[in-house]
Amino acid sequence: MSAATASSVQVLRERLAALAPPPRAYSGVIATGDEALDSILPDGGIPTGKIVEITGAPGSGQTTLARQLVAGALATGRMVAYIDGAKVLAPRDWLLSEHSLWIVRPPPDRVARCADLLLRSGAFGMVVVDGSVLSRPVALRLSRLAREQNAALVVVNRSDRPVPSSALRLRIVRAKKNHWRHEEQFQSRYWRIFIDKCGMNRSVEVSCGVPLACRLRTHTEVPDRRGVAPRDRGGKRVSGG
Amino acid sequence: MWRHVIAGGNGSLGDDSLSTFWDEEPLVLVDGEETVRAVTAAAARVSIVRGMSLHQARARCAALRVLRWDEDAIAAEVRRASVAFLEASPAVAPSSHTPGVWWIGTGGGVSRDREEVALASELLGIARRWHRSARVSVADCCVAAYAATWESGPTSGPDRSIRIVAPGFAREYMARVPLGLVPMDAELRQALQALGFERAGELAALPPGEVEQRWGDMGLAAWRLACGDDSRRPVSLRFEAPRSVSVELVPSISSVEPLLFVLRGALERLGSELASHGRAAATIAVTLTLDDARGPLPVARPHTVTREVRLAHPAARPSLLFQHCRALLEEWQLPAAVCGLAVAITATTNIHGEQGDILAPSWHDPDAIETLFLRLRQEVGSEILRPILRDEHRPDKAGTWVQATPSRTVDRERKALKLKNVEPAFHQLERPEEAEVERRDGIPAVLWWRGQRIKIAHAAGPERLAGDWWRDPYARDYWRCQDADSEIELLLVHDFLQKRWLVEGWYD
Repeated sequence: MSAATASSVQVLRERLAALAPPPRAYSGVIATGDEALDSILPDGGIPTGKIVEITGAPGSGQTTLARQLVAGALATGRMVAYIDGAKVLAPRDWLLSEHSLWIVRPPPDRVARCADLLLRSGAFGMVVVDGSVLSRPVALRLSRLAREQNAALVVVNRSDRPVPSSALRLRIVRAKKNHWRHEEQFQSRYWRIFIDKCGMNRSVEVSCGVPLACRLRTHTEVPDRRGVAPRDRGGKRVSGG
Repeated sequence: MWRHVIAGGNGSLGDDSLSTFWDEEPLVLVDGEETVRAVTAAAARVSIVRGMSLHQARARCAALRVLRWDEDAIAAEVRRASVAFLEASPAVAPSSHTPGVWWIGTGGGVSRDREEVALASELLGIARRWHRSARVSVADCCVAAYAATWESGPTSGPDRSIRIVAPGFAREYMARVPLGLVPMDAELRQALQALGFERAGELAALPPGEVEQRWGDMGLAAWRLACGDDSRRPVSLRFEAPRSVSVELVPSISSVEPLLFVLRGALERLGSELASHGRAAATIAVTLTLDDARGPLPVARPHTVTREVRLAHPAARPSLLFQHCRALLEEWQLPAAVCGLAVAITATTNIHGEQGDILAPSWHDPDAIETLFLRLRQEVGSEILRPILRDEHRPDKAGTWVQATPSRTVDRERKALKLKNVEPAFHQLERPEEAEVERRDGIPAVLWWRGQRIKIAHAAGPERLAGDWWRDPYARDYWRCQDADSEIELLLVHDFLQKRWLVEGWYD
């Protein structure tokens, strides 16, 4: 092969390499979609094949954080199942996907069995267990299934006991800077998320928007213009309370 | 354009046990009900026709030989002839309803560059191994090719057994073909004969709108064939063995669980058989033999009950087939003990050839999803829901749950949520809980709930909402209150009509 031919072949190879799609890289994490949160998570997201625990006091934002993880998984095209054992989810908050998100509501004693079936099917990239305390054998079995199926198992822990064999614990607490301003229609709530496992001690502050309703009145005697002013049997306006 | 060759055309089935050529002997094939299903040319000459009873046939010919219709023997012979025709053309399809007729494509493969006459001659040579008077014809469409094999008169090729309809002349050719050679429903044929139609061209001359108005889709299909417009193409005939498994249960059982155990094994076997042949089950028939001595009279046959499962998406996966059959059995109230179970795959289709991409996280096996869906609902008793929005002002009624269905479509990838742009999720109590509220200047200050006194640090509201009095009357004030100690944000409702306070839930 002459030098000119070899050069032409080399040029052609380079052009072909540029035309070919880049090799797909396998990612073992699921990004949450929130830059601040992803920046403190190991490898930039929720690890797959492991148990991730969300813990915190009631009302501290566990469900909101779980929803954020679900939205992140849905954004990658994965199917997600949320086992709502306590039946506490509000439908208006979960309009995230039409086909790829299953909200499963089993009887209280069948939550673990349900998680087992969902993980075993291999169809779901993330399974969230909410409203059930996992015993050690159950947690070990689910952990093994998550590893075999390479799915992220997120446990929303609403009890004081830690979830056995969890690989990552996200502890969420309310930040002290929350304050109320009655004159504003959009306020922010701040949380601090701590990572308690994976040999790291990081935390990040995240915020969430709280839109207050515009249809506010300052006095209970002011009637609602859109509806009927409530009256009691005597025809007097009900003053409430 | 496809050109079609039809070979045979006269029931050319061989029988080596006969000393003379079989078509020259008065011979009939009869089925189990002693009805004539096929006749030789010699038998036809003495007016023995298909559909006649054996007694009527014998009355016409005392020397008539009778053989039993043997499906297996016929299928084997058809297969042998098909293999022989493959030497000449790659597209060979035995006619599914007429043994002894083959559709053969002249285009593509090895026969592309060969002349049709040469191909027809070669096919004729092969066909004559089975029948001395085999005929071959070539036309643009199947209906014209079939009609051409029956043409009598001057030949258009070197051999008088070969007919060739010139390309583009199928319609003209069909115009003079007897109406009997156009496939159609017997009732329609009688109606056309009653009108005095003898040739296909007379039917083709009718306006299609009138034909459709008078005889519907069936008439329009026949009209198209009469015009030489035949969309049929040579397709491979599948020789499918009946797929069924039957089990005798001794002693009889009256519960569903043992039946499910047997059913699972049967479906695993049938499913693996289907998958090995590249087929998927479209319909499954489950037959139970009941031990109640109520079989039909006069013969004491067992009392069987059959029900079918029709799958929306044909599948070969045993677990999915099992879940469908399980749902059927669990809804089936058994009237008596069961002493036999038979499972049969009564309809199959080609298995879908979708290949999964294991590196794509969005890919999932739709059969696995459907299996899981059925199992969760039947075995675990779970509700599988999806949210929908409602046009409603009340925050707790703004959305509702509806039953989800297993979907084969996957949502497109979408952008992830930004936490700072979304509202906190609401932890909605399954039923609002009643509470007592102490107010200061009309604003909730202290809440008594679940036996606890909760001091309210901040309260945003009220959001006063009222419904239409003629449709859905309500009058409510919504308050968003923050617990002074735990900082939980509760959603309180003051219901004016029922004069009570309710805790709807809290933001979490």
